[in-house]
Amino acid sequence: MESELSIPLLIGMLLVLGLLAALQVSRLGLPRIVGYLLIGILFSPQILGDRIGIDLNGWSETLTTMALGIIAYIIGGSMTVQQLRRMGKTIFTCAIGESLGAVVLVVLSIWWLAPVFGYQNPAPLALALGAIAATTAPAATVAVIHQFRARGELTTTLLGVVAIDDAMGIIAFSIILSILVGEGFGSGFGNIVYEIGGAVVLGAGSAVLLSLYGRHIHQGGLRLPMIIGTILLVLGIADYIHVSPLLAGMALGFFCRMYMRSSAERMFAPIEYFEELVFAMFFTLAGAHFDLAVFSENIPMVVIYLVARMAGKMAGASVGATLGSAPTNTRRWLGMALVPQAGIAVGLALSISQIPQLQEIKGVIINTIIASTILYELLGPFAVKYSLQRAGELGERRRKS
Amino acid sequence: MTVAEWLNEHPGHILVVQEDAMLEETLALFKRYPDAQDIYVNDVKGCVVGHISKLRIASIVLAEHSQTHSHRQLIEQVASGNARELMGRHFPTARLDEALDDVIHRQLEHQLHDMAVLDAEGRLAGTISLTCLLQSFI
Repeated sequence: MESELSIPLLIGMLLVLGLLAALQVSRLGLPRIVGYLLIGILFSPQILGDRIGIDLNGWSETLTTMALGIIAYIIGGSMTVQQLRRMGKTIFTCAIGESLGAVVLVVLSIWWLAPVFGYQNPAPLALALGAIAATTAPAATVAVIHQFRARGELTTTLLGVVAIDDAMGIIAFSIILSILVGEGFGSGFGNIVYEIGGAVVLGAGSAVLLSLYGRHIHQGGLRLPMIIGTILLVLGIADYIHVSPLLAGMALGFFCRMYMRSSAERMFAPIEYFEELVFAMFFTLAGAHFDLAVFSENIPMVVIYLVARMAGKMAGASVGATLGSAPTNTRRWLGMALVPQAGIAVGLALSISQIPQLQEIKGVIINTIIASTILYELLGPFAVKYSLQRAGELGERRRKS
Repeated sequence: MTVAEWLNEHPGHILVVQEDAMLEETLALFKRYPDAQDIYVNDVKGCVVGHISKLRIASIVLAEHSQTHSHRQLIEQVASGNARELMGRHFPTARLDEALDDVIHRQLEHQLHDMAVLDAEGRLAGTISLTCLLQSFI
């Protein structure tokens, strides 16, 4: 059916109704993403989508790429080399451990178990879902820490880990994606190095230009279009020369922060306001891709992903904490506190579904990530609270304002 | 009236830290002078290279009371740095030989509580405080 709704009208409806629903569900004590996803699902093909002629193909992919580019820039610019050094060994080993643990266990579990449930070619599915498994949801974690005035060794490590593991998730995602899109790890090794290295060089080079302009533009109103323009330019060039757009965006943010040193805050603070808009768009768009038939056929995949990611986070964090000589409480409870998963995972799932080689399994990927995100967001805060409680770091609960 | 003449009549506290001063040192200075809004950062030659507002320090020290954090704020909370990393390098300043009227205009335009006054070598000569200006003109 030909689309009867114009694209601006559809995006407007998704965002406005999504925001209203998010505000309503947050009054009930549920995460906002439930509201966004519910509105998205309302516009999915089986409910309203087919009736009012919604067509997501052709434009939602571009929008997702642009939005993910902005998020990658923000994440890249969130840290400096000096800060990473000061964070210390423990946070680093924990972040690497839990990210790798989740990726490896999700890949292996799906590769091994998927054929049992009738999936003929499990490798692309295992790699695609594994690529998404590393990211977490800092907002959910911070909310629990704030609500219960948590303080202590585990709390500090947890904050550090959730702050940097999305960056590790994007790096892991980019590497796995180039394996998936290329001709396998062995034959396409040069291609992988080109995609990753090229993206870093492109981001670093563009950051020189952005920071040069940034130093000379003092009007706040001109800075935002300049930043967004440069991000889009980098994404476009990355796509044109076939290097990873996400890594290029992240490198742009990282090197811009490095070149501009303490003046860099003004290159990031204005664009951080876009985060909620970007996540609202990811969730509503992901909801609109929801397919009840695909979901019910793939419940085993959701269960495997949920369990494997959680186990991977727990085991990986424990190994990382041991290597980083962390205290016993951190070794025991950090992994469980890293269970929440949200916006970035959904954005990555939407972007992975644009790849021509993965068209057959895109429904499974998006629906698995939607279902697992809802469950992780509902259960995640309890897991964070339980971990901090067992570590003896919870304080007095704040009264709700 | 020139800025130099104003500063002679209204000398105030000048809060300065070195580039390598850690957060605690900056915080202690604000604690000692609770009315101060800004601290200036000097390089080894004594020239001003940046400034740190009270709001900037508060956003790091009181971060745990905030419900939401960007990735950047999270990392700042866990690995806060020295004055060089915290300061802003771009802020409006005045010269000693400027007319006070011009400086007040600039101060209001930029909505500044305190305007830093630099001498010819780039050293901090004083600050023009909006509170002082109001007290003297009312």
